[in-house]
Amino acid sequence: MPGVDAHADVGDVRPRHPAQLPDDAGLRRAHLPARQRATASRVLSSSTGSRSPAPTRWSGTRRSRSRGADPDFHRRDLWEAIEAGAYPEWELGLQIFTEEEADRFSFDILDATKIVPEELVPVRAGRQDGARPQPGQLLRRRPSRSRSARRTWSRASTSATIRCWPGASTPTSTRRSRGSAGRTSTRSRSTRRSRRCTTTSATACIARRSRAAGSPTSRTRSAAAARSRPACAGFVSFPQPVKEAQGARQAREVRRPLHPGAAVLQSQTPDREERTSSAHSASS
Amino acid sequence: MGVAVGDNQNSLKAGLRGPTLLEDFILREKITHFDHERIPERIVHARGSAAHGYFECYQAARADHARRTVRRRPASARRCSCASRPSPASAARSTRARDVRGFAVKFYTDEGNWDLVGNNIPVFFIQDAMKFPDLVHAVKPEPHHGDAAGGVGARHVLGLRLADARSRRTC
Repeated sequence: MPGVDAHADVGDVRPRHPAQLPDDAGLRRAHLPARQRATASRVLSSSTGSRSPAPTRWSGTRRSRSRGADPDFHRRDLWEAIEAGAYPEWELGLQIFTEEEADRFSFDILDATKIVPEELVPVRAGRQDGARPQPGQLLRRRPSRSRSARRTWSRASTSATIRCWPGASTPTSTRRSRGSAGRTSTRSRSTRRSRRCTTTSATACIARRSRAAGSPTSRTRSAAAARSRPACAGFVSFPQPVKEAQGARQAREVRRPLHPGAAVLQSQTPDREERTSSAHSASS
Repeated sequence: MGVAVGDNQNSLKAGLRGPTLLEDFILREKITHFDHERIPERIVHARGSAAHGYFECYQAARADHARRTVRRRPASARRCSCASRPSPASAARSTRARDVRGFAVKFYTDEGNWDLVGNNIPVFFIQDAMKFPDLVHAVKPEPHHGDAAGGVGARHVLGLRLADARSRRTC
């Protein structure tokens, strides 16, 4: 019944027994880094007219509450963080590549069920020089904090990246907040978290860099192996030739001869199977 | 009129990789029906909280919202859950830890507003927008008993939501 079963928010179609519920501690760890991926790729255009597909990502650190025991946790957590001056921040990362490079990928970049591996195209946080920002560079000009309660959301950011942020907390601190019925002491806790920020940010940056090989955005466990992999021949919608379609095309050619010009054009155009086989040979 | 819908799972596209065609009236009717079936609630991403701030960039770019000459632009960000219900009657379970989280940002620029939406799942569930209503119907709790309708789509989503935290990596 809604509102009665405190564990029902975890899984609805599963048999409801507390022993079958997943580990709560692991649940929190899974949601602490609230990284977000845009569902559609964007295209950046330069002043010279060149276009670059650019899948986007957000990474931030607003925490999530498990089990739904406090249904208004996220709203209040955001509100209290802003009131306390611990403005949440997110960084926008882009994977920029050219359309020619996209044509060589083995997957379709317009397919929402596919991802662009980080080893193939590194995530860049708004930089155009192609260099991945180092944690020290990002943290060098960390701005001072404001105590104005009217300011909302974000403090000045000298770089569009980083800000792994004060609102984020360790699982330990989350456990403390749950012990007080979801209410946290706002100013003191936020201040402590902000003083931890430098260490947390640097750790997060390093963790992200080393974590790439194991994340879903990676296609291999080894980044070096991915870089040394030869270039793919591009995306092929149907790698295997369709025999029915091949037979139907031959029957159609026999049945309905094309006009002479079209016949010449057809003879110059490689068949689908030929293109597919050449793609396979190039990729192998 | 009176003709059964032959295929309501694959939308018309311009080629194999092409965009979905607006002339697909079956898709439009399905999406329209889906959008209006729960009034006044939104179907997904109904419950969330937002904050207003600014976006600041340090690199020159073509887009106005990230232009170097105007480095700071107002922006609004909204975080939300996906399949959770916003009604107070389901308050105890309206924020699911394993639910998909949405993240939407609106940039206010001189060249117009620019929206960027995303969520925290590494790989999206479906390839065709025409399957989205069926997926959401499988995941959304039934209004009378609060259980998901089930099905392959629901198992797929729950597989993500119930995965071990160490194996489930967000993007």
